[in-house]
Amino acid sequence: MMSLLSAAGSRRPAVRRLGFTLVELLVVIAIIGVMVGLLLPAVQAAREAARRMQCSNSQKQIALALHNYHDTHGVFPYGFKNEVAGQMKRRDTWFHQLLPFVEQTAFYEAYQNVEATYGMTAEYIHNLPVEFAGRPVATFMCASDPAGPARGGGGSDRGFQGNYAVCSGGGTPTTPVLASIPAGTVIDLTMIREDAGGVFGRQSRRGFRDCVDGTSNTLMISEGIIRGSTGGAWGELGGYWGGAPHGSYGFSTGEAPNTTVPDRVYSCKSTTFRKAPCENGNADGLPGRWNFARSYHPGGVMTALCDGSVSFISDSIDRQTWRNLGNRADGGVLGTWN
Amino acid sequence: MSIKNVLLVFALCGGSLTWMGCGGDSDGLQELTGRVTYNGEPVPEGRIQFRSLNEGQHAYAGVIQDGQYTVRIAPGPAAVEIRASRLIPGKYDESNPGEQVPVGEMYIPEKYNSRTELQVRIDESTVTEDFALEGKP
Repeated sequence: MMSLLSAAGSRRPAVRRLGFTLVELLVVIAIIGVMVGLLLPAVQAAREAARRMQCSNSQKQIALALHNYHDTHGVFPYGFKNEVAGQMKRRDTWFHQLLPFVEQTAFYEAYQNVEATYGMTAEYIHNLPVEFAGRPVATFMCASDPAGPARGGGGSDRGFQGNYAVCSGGGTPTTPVLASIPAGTVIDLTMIREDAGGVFGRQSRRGFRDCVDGTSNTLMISEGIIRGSTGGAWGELGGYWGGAPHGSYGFSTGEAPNTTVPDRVYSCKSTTFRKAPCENGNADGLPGRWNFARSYHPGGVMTALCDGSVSFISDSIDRQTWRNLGNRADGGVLGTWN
Repeated sequence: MSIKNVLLVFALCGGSLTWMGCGGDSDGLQELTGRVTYNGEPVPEGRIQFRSLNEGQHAYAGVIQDGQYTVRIAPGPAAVEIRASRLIPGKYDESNPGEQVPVGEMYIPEKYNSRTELQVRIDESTVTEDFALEGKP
């Protein structure tokens, strides 16, 4: 201030400075630097927010497709088809049944006639060639997952692997079981059975009337992390082409979203993938198969409820509340969850 | 503008940048490490899981490598589950047609995992917790 005043006071028209001093320039640059430094993380966060919105839109579309399927067939599609020796298209899942409802009618027609095209190769859908099974379907991919478009989860890199899975439930019994001492009841999370408490399972035929807890209190869809674009493996979440009986059709609400507890499938692309640990159920001789909901969205996962609404659920949700959300008829009163 | 003011501006800028960089972890978790042995031998490969006995019942899991583990965990009482597996020689699974895959077994007794009797209390000052398991060799 002093220097400004004195400059104004002493009128010296002969000495007029044009331009800036080095110091002034440095100060301006420093200020711009700080502003950019403040802004950049916000820009990155805005990008992630946009990807999350895209993901929420995909889940909304899948949820509406499931509703339309229900309107047509009076029931939700099965999680995956029971395998019967001699039948074609073994290991078919809800993903295939939903194709006509996400504007993939042509693909679905081709899939219906796949026996005529590929003969006995079509007995197991994971044997179908990559030109057919490897076709990515954009609705089933989350923009936040850098692995997409990915292949795997069905034993080879032939089949498309997506990010979305249907809810198999929070395991049985549905009542709260603390890891109590001495240990009594153990929660069985196994997804590869008819009923693990949720809406979807092996050869399940459940509809809105089965959501006894109310459609707004029962989960339908959530997402998972793909452990790399390739790498085969059996049963990783989203491996629609053949991995279903090893767990890839769905997700379990047995553990809170983005848990550090490993998924347990037949075999993993990677056991120590960042944010998504996994156990080789077969090679480690472990019973049960499950995938947990995971995502790259900071702090939680996107989910769609049976009523078709999409919401973001935080990782810090109580385990029992999350299990109650996954189970369709537990009768538990939900705590705050969103 | 005197050199003093310029220095002040720079100091402010530098200070605010440094402050921004110090976001820190706000998840309330702390690091816990330790040793896991089975019949006196370090467990070569396995998994360890702490299930909080507090209301949220969250579980915190980590990998055991050469008898050592590290997990990020919330303080409080927890039930511990430990698993380790090995392949069974000569046993194969063929549930996927045309694929013969070696099958393993989990060799830690179930009193240490699915029906665990292990319980610990993690305080905010706890940094290590060792487990010595006993069972059939």
